[in-house]
Amino acid sequence: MIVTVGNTKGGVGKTTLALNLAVARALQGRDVWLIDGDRQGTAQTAITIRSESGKQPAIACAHYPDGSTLRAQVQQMGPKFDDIIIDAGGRDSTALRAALILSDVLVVPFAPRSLDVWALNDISSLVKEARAVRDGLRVIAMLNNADPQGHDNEDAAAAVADFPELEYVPTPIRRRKPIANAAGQGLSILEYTPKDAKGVEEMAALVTAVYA
Amino acid sequence: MTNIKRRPVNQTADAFINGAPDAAATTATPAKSIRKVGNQVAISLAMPPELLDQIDQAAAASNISRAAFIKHALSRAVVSIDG
Repeated sequence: MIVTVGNTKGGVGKTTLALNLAVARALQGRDVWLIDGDRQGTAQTAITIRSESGKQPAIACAHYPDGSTLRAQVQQMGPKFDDIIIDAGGRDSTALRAALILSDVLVVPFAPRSLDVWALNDISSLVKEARAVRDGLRVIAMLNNADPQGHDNEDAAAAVADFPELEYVPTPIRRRKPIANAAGQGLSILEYTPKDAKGVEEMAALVTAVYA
Repeated sequence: MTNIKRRPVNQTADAFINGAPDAAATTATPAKSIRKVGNQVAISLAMPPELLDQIDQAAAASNISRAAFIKHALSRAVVSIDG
């Protein structure tokens, strides 16, 4: 299955989530290929740190910021892997569009902030365009960097209803320092020590929702 | 038949992918565009107006066109460099 973590808005935690999804699937014994479609290449940097530390399971990673290359490589090499996770950068790009053509599922992370919610309009339009040229793209919007408490999470979730292209899944990932710390070491929250039980629970729920 | 047409969309996946703002930056394009005119290629060339005047006078003296004169002069120049 090909899953893209993408949003035309930057800074919503795509790379961290892509890394977590990739590790989660690898921990389930699947052959995983993480594709970094962002020019910044931070997902690849994280995986490099992971590889150099010798952390198992190892994850294959490639960096294809060019959409045509990404598409061609996935079409050619994709069948060798059980799961492909694409981290498509935080802007409208050929890589994001190629990912929209290839993917089974698009995960759209957004923070419970007005600017994030407004920006859903852009990715929603792009999804609509993608669906005009292909069938069967499932698109789920999920809260990332959600507040530990308060009503903003619910308000933001309710706002997704304005975008018929997006299906809201109630599996928020709250703002947790260990998730960011783990990513900096090329690790998922699932394998981070000291164990963050709530973080693990939230991530596991998201994985289940994505691969349902 | 309906007169109400759907909003046009990019018809193919390739068109969709290359519709991204960064597409131009990543698509290989020739450094210079070359326009063909019949069997020849057309180029754009800037020169000082005084030189153009001299060319035109010389061409008129030889009773040939400006283009013919320039091509004739340049082919001689190329031959002398090659030779």
